[in-house]
Amino acid sequence: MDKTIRPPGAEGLRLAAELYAKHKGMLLKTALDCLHDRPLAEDAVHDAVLRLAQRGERLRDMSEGEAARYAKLTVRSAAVDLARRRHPERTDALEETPDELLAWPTTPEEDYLARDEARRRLDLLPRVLDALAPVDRELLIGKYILNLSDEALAQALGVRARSVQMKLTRARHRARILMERMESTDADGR
Amino acid sequence: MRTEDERFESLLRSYALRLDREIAVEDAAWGGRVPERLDRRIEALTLGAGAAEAAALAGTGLRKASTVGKFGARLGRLGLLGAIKGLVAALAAAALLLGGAYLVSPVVRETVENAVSGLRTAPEPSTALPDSPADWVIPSPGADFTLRDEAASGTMQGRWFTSEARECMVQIAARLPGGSSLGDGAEPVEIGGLPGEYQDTGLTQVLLLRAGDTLIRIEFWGAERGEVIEYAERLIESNE
Repeated sequence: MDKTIRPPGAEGLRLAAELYAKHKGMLLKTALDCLHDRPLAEDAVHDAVLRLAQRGERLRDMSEGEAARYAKLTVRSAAVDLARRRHPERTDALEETPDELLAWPTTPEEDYLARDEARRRLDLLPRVLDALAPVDRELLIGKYILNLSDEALAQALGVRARSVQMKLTRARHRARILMERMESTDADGR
Repeated sequence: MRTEDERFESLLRSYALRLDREIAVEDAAWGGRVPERLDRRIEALTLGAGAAEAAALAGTGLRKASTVGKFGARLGRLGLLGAIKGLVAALAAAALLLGGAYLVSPVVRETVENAVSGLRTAPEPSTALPDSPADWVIPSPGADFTLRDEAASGTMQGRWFTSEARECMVQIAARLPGGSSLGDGAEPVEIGGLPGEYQDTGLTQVLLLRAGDTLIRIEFWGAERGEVIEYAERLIESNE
Protein backbone atom coordinates (compact mmCIF):
# COMPACT_ATOMS: atom_id res chain seq x y z
CA MET A 1 0.00 0.00 0.00
CA ASP A 2 2.80 2.36 0.79
CA LYS A 3 4.21 3.29 -2.55
CA THR A 4 7.33 4.96 -1.24
CA ILE A 5 9.95 3.47 0.99
CA ARG A 6 10.45 5.63 4.03
CA PRO A 7 12.69 5.24 6.99
CA PRO A 8 10.73 4.33 10.09
CA GLY A 9 10.00 7.14 12.49
CA ALA A 10 10.65 7.01 16.19
CA GLU A 11 7.00 6.33 17.00
CA GLY A 12 6.82 3.56 14.42
CA LEU A 13 9.89 1.92 15.91
CA ARG A 14 8.43 2.21 19.38
CA LEU A 15 5.09 0.71 18.37
CA ALA A 16 6.75 -2.09 16.41
CA ALA A 17 9.07 -2.83 19.32
CA GLU A 18 6.07 -3.01 21.67
CA LEU A 19 4.24 -5.37 19.33
CA TYR A 20 7.33 -7.56 19.07
CA ALA A 21 7.76 -7.63 22.84
CA LYS A 22 4.15 -8.63 23.34
CA HIS A 23 3.89 -11.29 20.64
CA LYS A 24 7.43 -12.33 19.77
CA GLY A 25 6.90 -16.03 20.36
CA MET A 26 3.81 -16.04 18.20
CA LEU A 27 5.58 -14.06 15.47
CA LEU A 28 8.52 -16.45 15.34
CA LYS A 29 6.17 -19.44 15.28
CA THR A 30 4.29 -17.88 12.34
CA ALA A 31 7.50 -17.47 10.39
CA LEU A 32 8.69 -20.98 11.29
CA ASP A 33 5.42 -22.45 10.05
CA CYS A 34 6.04 -20.87 6.65
CA LEU A 35 9.78 -21.41 6.32
CA HIS A 36 10.66 -24.47 8.44
CA ASP A 37 14.08 -22.91 8.92
CA ARG A 38 14.97 -21.15 12.14
CA PRO A 39 17.58 -18.64 10.89
CA LEU A 40 15.35 -17.71 7.95
CA ALA A 41 12.38 -17.37 10.27
CA GLU A 42 14.35 -14.97 12.41
CA ASP A 43 15.18 -12.98 9.27
CA ALA A 44 11.47 -12.85 8.47
CA VAL A 45 10.63 -11.53 11.92
CA HIS A 46 13.39 -8.95 11.59
CA ASP A 47 12.05 -7.76 8.23
CA ALA A 48 8.50 -7.73 9.54
CA VAL A 49 9.38 -5.56 12.51
CA LEU A 50 11.01 -3.11 10.12
CA ARG A 51 7.89 -3.11 7.94
CA LEU A 52 5.68 -2.59 10.96
CA ALA A 53 7.86 0.29 12.12
CA GLN A 54 7.46 1.95 8.74
CA ARG A 55 3.72 1.83 9.12
CA GLY A 56 3.63 3.20 12.60
CA GLU A 57 0.83 5.63 11.85
CA ARG A 58 -1.39 2.72 10.91
CA LEU A 59 -0.51 0.77 14.05
CA ARG A 60 -1.34 3.79 16.17
CA ASP A 61 -4.98 3.70 15.11
CA MET A 62 -5.49 -0.04 15.59
CA SER A 63 -6.95 -1.88 18.53
CA GLU A 64 -4.70 -4.35 20.31
CA GLY A 65 -6.29 -7.30 18.54
CA GLU A 66 -6.08 -5.70 15.12
CA ALA A 67 -2.44 -4.81 15.67
CA ALA A 68 -1.70 -8.43 16.60
CA ARG A 69 -3.44 -9.66 13.43
CA TYR A 70 -1.54 -7.12 11.38
CA ALA A 71 1.76 -8.17 12.94
CA LYS A 72 1.06 -11.85 12.28
CA LEU A 73 0.12 -11.21 8.65
CA THR A 74 3.15 -8.97 8.18
CA VAL A 75 5.45 -11.73 9.43
CA ARG A 76 3.73 -14.22 7.19
CA SER A 77 4.13 -11.89 4.23
CA ALA A 78 7.82 -11.35 5.02
CA ALA A 79 8.27 -15.11 5.34
CA VAL A 80 6.58 -15.73 2.00
CA ASP A 81 8.82 -13.12 0.38
CA LEU A 82 11.91 -14.82 1.81
CA ALA A 83 10.69 -18.24 0.69
CA ARG A 84 10.12 -16.95 -2.81
CA ARG A 85 13.56 -15.39 -2.94
CA ARG A 86 15.00 -18.68 -1.80
CA HIS A 87 13.03 -20.74 -4.29
CA PRO A 88 12.20 -18.35 -7.13
CA GLU A 89 11.30 -21.28 -9.37
CA ARG A 90 8.16 -21.80 -7.33
CA THR A 91 5.24 -19.60 -8.16
CA ASP A 92 3.67 -20.38 -4.84
CA ALA A 93 6.39 -20.96 -2.30
CA LEU A 94 3.91 -22.21 0.25
CA GLU A 95 2.29 -24.71 -2.04
CA GLU A 96 4.04 -27.55 -0.29
CA THR A 97 3.64 -26.23 3.20
CA PRO A 98 1.61 -28.61 5.30
CA ASP A 99 -1.58 -27.22 6.68
CA GLU A 100 -0.28 -25.73 9.86
CA LEU A 101 -3.77 -25.15 11.11
CA LEU A 102 -4.26 -28.86 11.58
CA ALA A 103 -1.71 -28.59 14.34
CA TRP A 104 -4.08 -26.63 16.51
CA PRO A 105 -6.13 -28.24 19.19
CA THR A 106 -9.71 -28.48 18.04
CA THR A 107 -13.04 -28.79 19.75
CA PRO A 108 -15.61 -31.40 18.70
CA GLU A 109 -17.54 -28.66 16.92
CA GLU A 110 -14.48 -27.67 14.98
CA ASP A 111 -13.75 -31.25 14.13
CA TYR A 112 -17.16 -31.39 12.61
CA LEU A 113 -16.39 -28.23 10.65
CA ALA A 114 -13.16 -29.78 9.48
CA ARG A 115 -15.25 -32.01 7.30
CA ASP A 116 -17.13 -29.08 5.98
CA GLU A 117 -16.24 -27.23 2.82
CA ALA A 118 -16.13 -23.89 4.61
CA ARG A 119 -13.31 -25.14 6.79
CA ARG A 120 -11.37 -26.36 3.76
CA ARG A 121 -11.76 -22.99 2.07
CA LEU A 122 -10.72 -21.24 5.24
CA ASP A 123 -7.58 -23.35 5.28
CA LEU A 124 -6.88 -22.30 1.71
CA LEU A 125 -7.47 -18.60 2.24
CA PRO A 126 -3.97 -17.67 3.52
CA ARG A 127 -2.45 -19.11 0.34
CA VAL A 128 -4.95 -17.23 -1.79
CA LEU A 129 -4.10 -13.98 -0.03
CA ASP A 130 -0.39 -14.66 -0.45
CA ALA A 131 -0.83 -15.21 -4.18
CA LEU A 132 -2.93 -12.12 -4.85
CA ALA A 133 -1.56 -8.93 -6.33
CA PRO A 134 -0.27 -6.73 -3.49
CA VAL A 135 -2.98 -4.10 -3.91
CA ASP A 136 -5.78 -6.67 -3.80
CA ARG A 137 -4.21 -8.38 -0.81
CA GLU A 138 -3.82 -5.12 1.10
CA LEU A 139 -7.39 -4.16 0.28
CA LEU A 140 -8.90 -7.41 1.52
CA ILE A 141 -6.71 -7.56 4.60
CA GLY A 142 -7.36 -3.90 5.37
CA LYS A 143 -11.10 -4.27 5.02
CA TYR A 144 -11.80 -7.66 6.58
CA ILE A 145 -8.90 -8.38 8.92
CA LEU A 146 -7.99 -4.92 10.14
CA ASN A 147 -11.51 -3.45 9.87
CA LEU A 148 -10.26 -0.27 8.19
CA SER A 149 -12.89 2.18 7.01
CA ASP A 150 -13.30 2.94 3.31
CA GLU A 151 -11.80 6.36 3.97
CA ALA A 152 -8.73 4.86 5.65
CA LEU A 153 -8.34 2.35 2.83
CA ALA A 154 -8.68 5.11 0.24
CA GLN A 155 -6.06 7.16 2.01
CA ALA A 156 -3.67 4.23 2.24
CA LEU A 157 -4.14 3.41 -1.43
CA GLY A 158 -4.15 6.99 -2.64
CA VAL A 159 -7.54 6.65 -4.33
CA ARG A 160 -10.95 8.25 -3.88
CA ALA A 161 -13.09 6.82 -1.11
CA ARG A 162 -16.02 6.14 -3.42
CA SER A 163 -13.89 3.91 -5.64
CA VAL A 164 -12.91 1.65 -2.73
CA GLN A 165 -16.09 -0.44 -2.85
CA MET A 166 -15.62 -1.15 -6.55
CA LYS A 167 -11.98 -2.08 -6.01
CA LEU A 168 -12.99 -4.35 -3.15
CA THR A 169 -15.58 -6.09 -5.30
CA ARG A 170 -12.98 -6.69 -7.99
CA ALA A 171 -10.42 -7.88 -5.46
CA ARG A 172 -12.90 -10.38 -3.99
CA HIS A 173 -13.76 -11.57 -7.48
CA ARG A 174 -10.11 -12.15 -8.35
CA ALA A 175 -9.52 -13.88 -5.03
CA ARG A 176 -12.47 -16.20 -5.60
CA ILE A 177 -11.19 -17.15 -9.03
CA LEU A 178 -7.77 -17.82 -7.58
CA MET A 179 -9.27 -19.94 -4.83
CA GLU A 180 -11.25 -21.99 -7.34
CA ARG A 181 -8.08 -22.58 -9.35
CA MET A 182 -6.19 -23.67 -6.25
CA GLU A 183 -9.03 -25.96 -5.20
CA SER A 184 -8.99 -27.49 -8.63
CA THR A 185 -5.21 -27.92 -8.57
CA ASP A 186 -5.32 -29.43 -5.10
CA ALA A 187 -8.08 -31.81 -6.15
CA ASP A 188 -6.01 -32.92 -9.15
CA GLY A 189 -3.07 -33.55 -6.86
CA ARG A 190 -5.05 -35.77 -4.51
CA MET B 1 -29.83 -17.24 -0.28
CA ARG B 2 -26.39 -15.72 -0.16
CA THR B 3 -24.42 -15.01 -3.29
CA GLU B 4 -20.93 -16.38 -3.90
CA ASP B 5 -19.54 -12.93 -3.19
CA GLU B 6 -21.34 -12.71 0.15
CA ARG B 7 -20.09 -16.15 1.10
CA PHE B 8 -16.57 -15.08 0.26
CA GLU B 9 -16.93 -11.97 2.41
CA SER B 10 -18.08 -14.18 5.24
CA LEU B 11 -15.06 -16.40 4.69
CA LEU B 12 -12.74 -13.41 4.97
CA ARG B 13 -14.37 -12.36 8.24
CA SER B 14 -14.07 -15.91 9.54
CA TYR B 15 -10.38 -15.79 8.75
CA ALA B 16 -10.04 -12.77 11.03
CA LEU B 17 -11.59 -14.79 13.85
CA ARG B 18 -9.33 -17.71 13.15
CA LEU B 19 -6.32 -15.41 13.28
CA ASP B 20 -7.45 -14.24 16.71
CA ARG B 21 -7.66 -17.82 17.89
CA GLU B 22 -4.25 -18.66 16.47
CA ILE B 23 -2.75 -15.60 18.09
CA ALA B 24 -4.26 -16.47 21.47
CA VAL B 25 -3.02 -20.04 21.30
CA GLU B 26 0.44 -19.13 20.03
CA ASP B 27 0.86 -16.31 22.53
CA ALA B 28 -0.03 -18.71 25.32
CA ALA B 29 2.13 -21.53 24.02
CA TRP B 30 5.16 -19.54 22.94
CA GLY B 31 4.97 -16.43 25.09
CA GLY B 32 8.30 -14.70 24.96
CA ARG B 33 10.23 -17.81 24.11
CA VAL B 34 12.47 -16.74 21.29
CA PRO B 35 16.22 -17.07 20.98
CA GLU B 36 18.06 -14.34 22.79
CA ARG B 37 19.85 -13.49 19.57
CA LEU B 38 16.54 -12.52 17.96
CA ASP B 39 15.82 -10.16 20.84
CA ARG B 40 19.24 -8.63 20.31
CA ARG B 41 18.61 -8.26 16.60
CA ILE B 42 15.36 -6.46 17.13
CA GLU B 43 16.95 -4.26 19.75
CA ALA B 44 19.76 -3.47 17.33
CA LEU B 45 17.17 -2.74 14.68
CA THR B 46 15.69 -0.13 16.95
CA LEU B 47 19.10 1.27 17.73
CA GLY B 48 20.04 1.06 14.07
CA ALA B 49 17.27 3.36 12.94
CA GLY B 50 19.93 5.92 12.12
CA ALA B 51 21.66 3.47 9.84
CA ALA B 52 18.44 2.49 8.13
CA GLU B 53 17.50 6.10 7.75
CA ALA B 54 20.89 6.94 6.33
CA ALA B 55 20.60 4.16 3.79
CA ALA B 56 17.08 5.15 2.83
CA LEU B 57 17.96 8.81 2.50
CA ALA B 58 20.92 7.85 0.37
CA GLY B 59 18.51 6.26 -2.07
CA THR B 60 18.80 2.61 -1.21
CA GLY B 61 15.80 0.42 -0.77
CA LEU B 62 14.39 -1.10 2.32
CA ARG B 63 16.24 -4.34 1.72
CA LYS B 64 19.59 -2.68 1.90
CA ALA B 65 18.57 -0.69 4.94
CA SER B 66 17.53 -3.94 6.55
CA THR B 67 20.85 -5.49 5.63
CA VAL B 68 22.66 -2.63 7.27
CA GLY B 69 20.58 -3.08 10.39
CA LYS B 70 21.37 -6.78 10.43
CA PHE B 71 25.04 -6.08 10.01
CA GLY B 72 24.93 -3.82 13.03
CA ALA B 73 23.06 -6.50 14.92
CA ARG B 74 25.67 -9.10 14.07
CA LEU B 75 28.43 -6.89 15.31
CA GLY B 76 26.62 -6.46 18.57
CA ARG B 77 25.84 -10.15 18.82
CA LEU B 78 29.42 -11.17 18.43
CA GLY B 79 30.43 -8.83 21.18
CA LEU B 80 32.98 -7.18 18.96
CA LEU B 81 31.69 -3.75 19.71
CA GLY B 82 29.49 -2.24 22.32
CA ALA B 83 26.09 -0.85 21.50
CA ILE B 84 27.37 2.59 20.65
CA LYS B 85 30.28 1.29 18.66
CA GLY B 86 27.87 -1.05 16.90
CA LEU B 87 25.73 1.85 15.85
CA VAL B 88 28.73 3.81 14.64
CA ALA B 89 30.01 0.77 12.80
CA ALA B 90 26.59 0.15 11.26
CA LEU B 91 26.58 3.72 9.98
CA ALA B 92 30.07 3.27 8.66
CA ALA B 93 29.07 -0.05 7.14
CA ALA B 94 26.18 1.73 5.44
CA ALA B 95 28.61 4.14 3.92
CA LEU B 96 30.85 1.29 2.83
CA LEU B 97 27.97 -0.56 1.30
CA LEU B 98 26.93 2.53 -0.56
CA GLY B 99 30.37 3.00 -1.97
CA GLY B 100 31.02 5.87 0.36
CA ALA B 101 34.11 4.42 1.93
CA TYR B 102 36.07 7.55 1.19
CA LEU B 103 33.76 9.55 3.38
CA VAL B 104 34.56 7.43 6.41
CA SER B 105 37.47 8.33 8.60
CA PRO B 106 40.38 5.87 8.61
CA VAL B 107 39.80 5.11 12.28
CA VAL B 108 36.17 4.18 11.76
CA ARG B 109 37.02 2.25 8.63
CA GLU B 110 39.67 0.29 10.48
CA THR B 111 37.15 -0.49 13.22
CA VAL B 112 34.68 -1.78 10.67
CA GLU B 113 37.30 -3.77 8.79
CA ASN B 114 38.44 -5.38 12.01
CA ALA B 115 34.87 -6.20 12.82
CA VAL B 116 34.33 -7.73 9.39
CA SER B 117 37.52 -9.70 9.79
CA GLY B 118 36.23 -10.93 13.13
CA LEU B 119 33.00 -11.95 11.51
CA ARG B 120 34.87 -14.04 8.99
CA THR B 121 36.87 -15.89 11.58
CA ALA B 122 34.26 -16.19 14.30
CA PRO B 123 32.51 -19.51 14.54
CA GLU B 124 28.98 -19.61 13.24
CA PRO B 125 26.54 -18.85 15.99
CA SER B 126 24.73 -21.94 17.11
CA THR B 127 21.21 -22.30 15.83
CA ALA B 128 20.26 -24.10 18.99
CA LEU B 129 18.25 -22.06 21.42
CA PRO B 130 20.15 -20.62 24.34
CA ASP B 131 20.05 -22.28 27.71
CA SER B 132 16.76 -21.75 29.38
CA PRO B 133 16.19 -19.24 32.12
CA ALA B 134 16.26 -20.67 35.61
CA ASP B 135 12.50 -20.90 35.82
CA TRP B 136 12.27 -23.21 32.82
CA VAL B 137 12.70 -26.69 33.98
CA ILE B 138 13.07 -30.01 32.27
CA PRO B 139 13.68 -31.10 29.01
CA SER B 140 16.21 -33.69 28.35
CA PRO B 141 15.34 -37.10 29.74
CA GLY B 142 17.26 -37.66 32.92
CA ALA B 143 17.21 -34.01 33.88
CA ASP B 144 16.20 -33.24 37.41
CA PHE B 145 12.61 -32.24 37.18
CA THR B 146 9.58 -32.60 39.38
CA LEU B 147 6.06 -32.67 38.09
CA ARG B 148 4.61 -31.60 41.41
CA ASP B 149 6.61 -28.38 41.53
CA GLU B 150 5.56 -27.48 38.05
CA ALA B 151 1.91 -28.06 38.78
CA ALA B 152 2.12 -26.04 41.97
CA SER B 153 3.11 -22.96 40.02
CA GLY B 154 -0.26 -23.10 38.29
CA THR B 155 1.26 -21.75 35.14
CA MET B 156 2.35 -23.35 31.94
CA GLN B 157 5.96 -24.30 31.76
CA GLY B 158 7.87 -25.46 28.79
CA ARG B 159 10.98 -25.19 26.81
CA TRP B 160 12.22 -25.82 23.33
CA PHE B 161 15.15 -28.09 22.98
CA THR B 162 16.77 -30.34 20.51
CA SER B 163 16.81 -33.98 21.31
CA GLU B 164 18.20 -36.43 18.82
CA ALA B 165 17.88 -33.74 16.17
CA ARG B 166 14.19 -33.38 16.91
CA GLU B 167 12.49 -30.26 18.02
CA CYS B 168 10.21 -30.69 20.94
CA MET B 169 8.19 -28.62 23.33
CA VAL B 170 7.11 -29.78 26.75
CA GLN B 171 4.36 -27.99 28.60
CA ILE B 172 3.21 -28.83 32.08
CA ALA B 173 0.37 -27.14 33.87
CA ALA B 174 -3.01 -27.61 35.39
CA ARG B 175 -4.52 -25.95 32.32
CA LEU B 176 -3.14 -25.86 28.81
CA PRO B 177 -4.28 -23.72 25.88
CA GLY B 178 -5.56 -26.68 23.93
CA GLY B 179 -7.58 -28.03 26.83
CA SER B 180 -7.41 -31.40 28.48
CA SER B 181 -8.12 -33.41 25.37
CA LEU B 182 -6.73 -33.63 21.87
CA GLY B 183 -10.23 -34.16 20.53
CA ASP B 184 -11.66 -36.75 18.20
CA GLY B 185 -9.19 -38.85 16.34
CA ALA B 186 -6.68 -39.01 19.15
CA GLU B 187 -5.41 -42.42 20.13
CA PRO B 188 -5.70 -43.37 23.81
CA VAL B 189 -2.34 -44.32 25.30
CA GLU B 190 -0.86 -45.09 28.69
CA ILE B 191 2.76 -44.23 29.33
CA GLY B 192 4.59 -44.81 32.57
CA GLY B 193 1.27 -45.47 34.23
CA LEU B 194 -0.11 -42.13 33.10
CA PRO B 195 -3.20 -42.10 30.88
CA GLY B 196 -3.24 -39.88 27.85
CA GLU B 197 -3.76 -39.39 24.14
CA TYR B 198 -1.56 -39.33 21.09
CA GLN B 199 -2.25 -37.59 17.81
CA ASP B 200 -0.19 -37.17 14.64
CA THR B 201 -1.44 -34.22 12.59
CA GLY B 202 1.07 -34.74 9.82
CA LEU B 203 3.02 -31.68 10.90
CA THR B 204 3.27 -32.29 14.61
CA GLN B 205 3.05 -35.28 16.89
CA VAL B 206 1.32 -34.47 20.13
CA LEU B 207 1.15 -36.51 23.30
CA LEU B 208 -1.08 -35.35 26.14
CA LEU B 209 -0.69 -37.13 29.46
CA ARG B 210 -2.56 -36.65 32.72
CA ALA B 211 -0.77 -36.89 36.03
CA GLY B 212 -3.54 -36.29 38.53
CA ASP B 213 -4.62 -32.70 38.05
CA THR B 214 -1.60 -31.96 35.95
CA LEU B 215 -1.43 -32.05 32.18
CA ILE B 216 1.76 -32.84 30.33
CA ARG B 217 1.80 -31.94 26.68
CA ILE B 218 4.72 -33.09 24.56
CA GLU B 219 4.83 -31.87 21.01
CA PHE B 220 7.32 -33.01 18.41
CA TRP B 221 7.95 -31.80 14.90
CA GLY B 222 8.71 -34.45 12.31
CA ALA B 223 9.07 -37.41 14.66
CA GLU B 224 7.82 -40.96 14.44
CA ARG B 225 5.23 -42.27 16.87
CA GLY B 226 7.76 -44.64 18.42
CA GLU B 227 10.21 -41.84 19.09
CA VAL B 228 7.59 -39.75 20.82
CA ILE B 229 6.43 -42.61 23.00
CA GLU B 230 9.99 -43.58 23.85
CA TYR B 231 10.88 -40.02 24.76
CA ALA B 232 7.81 -39.71 26.98
CA GLU B 233 8.62 -42.99 28.70
CA ARG B 234 12.13 -41.83 29.46
CA LEU B 235 10.90 -38.46 30.64
CA ILE B 236 8.35 -39.98 33.01
CA GLU B 237 10.78 -42.63 34.18
CA SER B 238 13.44 -40.07 34.95
CA ASN B 239 11.03 -38.11 37.11
CA GLU B 240 9.40 -40.89 39.05
